[in-house]
Amino acid sequence: MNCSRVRKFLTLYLDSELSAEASFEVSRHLETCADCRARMEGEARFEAAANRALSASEPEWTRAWERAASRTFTNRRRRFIAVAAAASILAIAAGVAVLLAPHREIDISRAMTANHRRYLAGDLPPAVEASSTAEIERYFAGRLPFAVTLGKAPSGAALMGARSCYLDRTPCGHIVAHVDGVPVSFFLIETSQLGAFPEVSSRLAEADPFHCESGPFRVLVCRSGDRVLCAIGELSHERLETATRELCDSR
Amino acid sequence: MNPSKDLTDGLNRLREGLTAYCARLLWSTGDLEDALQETMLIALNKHHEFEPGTDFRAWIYRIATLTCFGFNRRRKHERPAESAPESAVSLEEELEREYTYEEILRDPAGVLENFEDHLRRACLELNDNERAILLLKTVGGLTCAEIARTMEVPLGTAQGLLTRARMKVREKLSTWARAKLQNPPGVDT
Repeated sequence: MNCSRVRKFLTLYLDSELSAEASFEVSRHLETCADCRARMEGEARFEAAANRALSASEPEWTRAWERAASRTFTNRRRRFIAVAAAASILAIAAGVAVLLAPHREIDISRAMTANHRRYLAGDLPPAVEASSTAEIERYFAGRLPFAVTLGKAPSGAALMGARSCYLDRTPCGHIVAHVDGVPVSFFLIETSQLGAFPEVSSRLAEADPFHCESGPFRVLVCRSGDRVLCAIGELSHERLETATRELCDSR
Repeated sequence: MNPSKDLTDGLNRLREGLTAYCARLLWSTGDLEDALQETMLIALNKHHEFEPGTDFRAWIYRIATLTCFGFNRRRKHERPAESAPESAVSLEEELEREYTYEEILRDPAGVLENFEDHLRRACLELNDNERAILLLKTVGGLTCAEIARTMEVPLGTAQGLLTRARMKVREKLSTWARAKLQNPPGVDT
């Protein structure tokens, strides 16, 4: 092997990735060529420095892992424990909670708020920009495990776009619109997936639609056929409900 | 054994490398948390398909790779420009770049200290397959055989792509370093 060919193989040689025959050829050349030996030592130092630079982690990445793992695994365990607990106690607790604090934050509103805040911060832009509900329906086709049928864009609203995502670990469609100039997120979930949000099921059994609040945001949850539509934004409950009804009314 | 515990144990062992791998493979680190969650969810849902005793690391990196590619496709309008193939590099330029690279190899750690951002940029400008393969090697620590299984390509292809990706990154760095040497800061040109 000549120097030019050996240099092509040096990094793979350093990785011990060459065949026995090629590796033998390279070692034999290195024994007699000081230039290539120096080059190999330089390549080894370069690889080590590049690996360190590319592997260096940032604190935000660690937090991202922890949040992702918590949303995936911890919530799952919690749900398992909840199912194992006495159903009657849950029902009573949910009922009491509804009676005492009809507007308090609930499981789904926390997940919605996190997503909506990230949209507002520009961290989660829509995957597709869309100005009509037909475009959004086309985008969701095949991306969600359920069919999405929408009504029209709410009056006074500009549709911004949509993305498929997860609320906790539940697949959902996220639609963004600016209603009266105020950003609003709409989330579509399959009713059969509501087991992931026990508080929603019990609240919907009491009232459909129902409202609650989460920080500065108003939240609305209602059924529409075999879907559940949730909306969040800094609008009045009434305005949020009108906009949601128009968006999900597919008649 | 609890399959979910097996999975979380396996994931935790690869946590640092897998996180850095996804962060560097994604065009936007704003997608990192969602990409990690989607990777975990797919792994959780498909864990019954994983055969114990086979290569868990290649299995999970494959899921992460496809997930990150999916997120990148959604952001294709923000995609960094891929390096165009260099069609006409003169012999003189080639020699100068080679000379600069020889200089870099004398003290790679010192040079990369000043060119760390350039290194990451050079990595982002690779095409998806080259970047994934380079990162599987450097960040994930996978062997070429594992990379071939992860990317579902023949071993020779994985080795070829890895060599090409490394070469492109070195050429980029040499070009930037040469430009800096020719126009050091504070010198009017």
